[in-house]
Amino acid sequence: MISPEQKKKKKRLTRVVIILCALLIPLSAYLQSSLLKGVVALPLSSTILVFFLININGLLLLLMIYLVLRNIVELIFERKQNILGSRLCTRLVISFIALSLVPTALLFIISLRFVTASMDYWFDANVENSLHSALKLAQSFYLDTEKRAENMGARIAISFKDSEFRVENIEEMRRFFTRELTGSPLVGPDELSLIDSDTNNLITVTEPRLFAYAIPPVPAEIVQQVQETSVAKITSVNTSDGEFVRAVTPLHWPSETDKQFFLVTTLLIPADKMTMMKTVSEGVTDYRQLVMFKAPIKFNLVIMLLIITLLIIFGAIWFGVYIARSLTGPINKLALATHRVSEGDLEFTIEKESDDEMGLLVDSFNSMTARLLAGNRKLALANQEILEANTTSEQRRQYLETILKNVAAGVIAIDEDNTITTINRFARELLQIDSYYFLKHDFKEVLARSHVMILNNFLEELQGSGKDSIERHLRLTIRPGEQLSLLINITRMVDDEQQPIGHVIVFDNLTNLEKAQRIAAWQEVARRIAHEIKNPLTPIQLSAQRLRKRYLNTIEDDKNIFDQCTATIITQVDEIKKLVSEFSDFARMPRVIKKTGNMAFLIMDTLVLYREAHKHISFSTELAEDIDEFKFDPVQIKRVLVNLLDNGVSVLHEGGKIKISLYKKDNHIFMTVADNGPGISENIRPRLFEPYFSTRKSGTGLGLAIAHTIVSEHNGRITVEDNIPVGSIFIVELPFDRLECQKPEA
Amino acid sequence: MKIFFPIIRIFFIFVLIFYSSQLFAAEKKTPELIDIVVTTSIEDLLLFATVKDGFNQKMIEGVRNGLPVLFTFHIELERIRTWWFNDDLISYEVTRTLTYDALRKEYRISLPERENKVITTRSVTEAKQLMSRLSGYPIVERDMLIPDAPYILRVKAILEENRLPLGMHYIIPFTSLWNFETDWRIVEFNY
Repeated sequence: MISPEQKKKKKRLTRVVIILCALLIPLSAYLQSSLLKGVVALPLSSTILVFFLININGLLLLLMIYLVLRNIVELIFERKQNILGSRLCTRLVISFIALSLVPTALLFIISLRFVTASMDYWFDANVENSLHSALKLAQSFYLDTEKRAENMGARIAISFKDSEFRVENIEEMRRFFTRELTGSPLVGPDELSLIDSDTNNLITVTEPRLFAYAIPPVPAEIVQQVQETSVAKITSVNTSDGEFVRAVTPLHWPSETDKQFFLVTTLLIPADKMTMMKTVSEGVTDYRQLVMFKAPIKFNLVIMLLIITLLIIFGAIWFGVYIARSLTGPINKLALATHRVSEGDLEFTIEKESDDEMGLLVDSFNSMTARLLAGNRKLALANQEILEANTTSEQRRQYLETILKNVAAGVIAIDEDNTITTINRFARELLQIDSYYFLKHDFKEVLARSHVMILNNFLEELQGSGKDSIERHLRLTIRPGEQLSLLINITRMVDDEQQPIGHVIVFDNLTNLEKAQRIAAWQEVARRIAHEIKNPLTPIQLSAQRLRKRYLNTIEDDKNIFDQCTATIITQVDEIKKLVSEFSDFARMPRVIKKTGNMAFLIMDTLVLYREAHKHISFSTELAEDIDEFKFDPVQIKRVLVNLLDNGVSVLHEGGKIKISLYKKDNHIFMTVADNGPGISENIRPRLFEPYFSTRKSGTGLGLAIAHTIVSEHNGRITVEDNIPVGSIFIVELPFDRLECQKPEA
Repeated sequence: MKIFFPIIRIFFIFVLIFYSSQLFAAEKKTPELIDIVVTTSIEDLLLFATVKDGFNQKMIEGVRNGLPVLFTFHIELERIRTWWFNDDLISYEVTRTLTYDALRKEYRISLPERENKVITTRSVTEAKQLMSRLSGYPIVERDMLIPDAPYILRVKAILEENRLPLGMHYIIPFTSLWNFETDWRIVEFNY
């Protein structure tokens, strides 16, 4: 990835290159125009074509160099910055360069060698010598012909002079010329003419073979030159019949006239020979021109080879970079996409750029991510469903647990391996056990032997009965002195496939129910007794009082006995009345009427009387100050406190201590009355709160029963424990009920 | 950016080499127009001029190898006008061509001012003279001239090969064996 800073640098670089090219192009144009000055004579179209081609080549080369350099620079930067794919790109470019450089360099060297060798071969010295000799031969033949014509002319001119012809003797001169012509037919002249200075032809004798040829006249200019210089002159005329080589020789003829005469000796080089000689001459000329241009041709060929080689190399580099980029580009995209996918972005897709293997790879990648996405969505959906199911299950479990927790029955489940799997709160609290020591343990290992036997008996009975559940009543002693009356139901559990998965033991605590039933029964008994006994008591007491009033003073004998008996009757009836009254109170226990009150004030009020009445006992309190007012029946609770204090006072002697504490814990109010009396033995504690159970001789046995009833009416609990070091402590636990404690607005 | 500095440096070195070679070439003998004489005949204004150092050995060798040599005389005549642009009277180009006949060992000079008459000679000196010298070339008819008026005559000679043989300019486009010209020579005169 290129940073903005790098992009800026790249742009600047491109700008520099463009400016450089813009400067180079007119410069090269100027150079070309100055170089092309020498070939202005070229046809315009060719010049434009050459100019165009050269410029195009130059521009292409510049562009190629720019592209290659740009790519290489980019590659170097990318490699320095460790950009993904730069190494592969570099390797590919180097491979391409190596692949192209070696054959191209080889081709260049071989081509160079071939060109050099070929040119050297073409311009071989032997060829040049042969051509030169051929030209020499042609030249010598031509010059020889000229020489021959000149010599013949000179010789005939001398003979002509010696013959002393007269001007008017034309025929005689013609015969002379004919003789000269026929005398040596092979080496003689082909034509002899006699012309005057005005180029008038006086005599012409021609070889018979030239009769058909039209021989052009001698140019007057030549005749004039010969006349001026008096020196023979050679002239030649080229016709379609061949080359006519002529020697114009002045004749020194003693003539009567002023005219000067010239002998024209003509030799014909036949057209075929002339053509051959010209061919030789032109061939040699062309060859020499080629030799002249050997070096520039060679140089240009080398330059062209070099340019082509450079183009191939640059092309290969650029192509390598292009191919590498086309390979690494998608790879980079793939890497980026993989990174994105690894970060969880499965919706990311790669744009397909080609239909080749990379395209296939891109397609596969996109398909893979799409499938992954679909799979993830399905998984998420499934997960959601599972979560929902789990939530539902958890809710159901929690609901069941809540039910189990709040059900007013103990639930204990054991599996097929006798391992305890569930103990609900009721069971824990009732049995006062810590589930940590029981859960996931074999009940045979963690329960007392007697309990194990009971449970085994139940299980065997269930097994033997063939029923799904059995119900039994059981009195169970959990701890010494604490006996529970339980209604136990053991049910065999089976799953949906009717496979046994264990047993569930449900037990109800009938202890309180039985206790309540007993109290109710007692109340009924008390009510009946009160009703049945109270009525005859008053007549009995009145009768006894009447007897005493009437006969006490009249009876002399056994007066003491009478007095004592009637007094006893009256006193005992009073006692019975009191008893009946208590029975009556117990039987007609008023309904609890709760109202907001302060427990501490109640305690302090109650204690005032006791402190006055029992000065030999030390009363102390420890009342928490942070207890707000709450809802309770103050009359009834005071009665509870009085009963407890009465119990305490009745067993204490001089120096006895009673301490009342009040505190709040777990949303419950605890009121304790502790004494340092003789204490209560473990054996009688279970029956302590039952009616008509008393350890005192004067007690009715209803005080604690009433207290128990009142506290129970408040949904509370009353228990007794040993006071440390001596004595007993009664604990009254009441719920801290403030729901209706809002004070009405004034 | 650094990578471009060597390229720029190499480029300027090439340019320097190119121009220095041109400078060295300039130090050689350069042709010039001498002996410029403007005179009159009965009918025409005549020009006499000679190109000095118009031939070198390379040119002679080229001519002997069959390359034609062209001498082109550029002649311009203007009448000077004091308060206005000069009046262009004539602008001529006279081209003489020198060729060599290897078979006959003779030089051929075509003279366009003489109706393209071809003069042959076996003397290289004579051939050079014929090529280099304008002898009484009729520039303009006297009737066209205004008496006592000032005139400017400009003459320049350009020497070049006609074109490379065998279509070689297609292969070696920038090659030129000789290619030079004289400076403009200006002659002011009053007719």
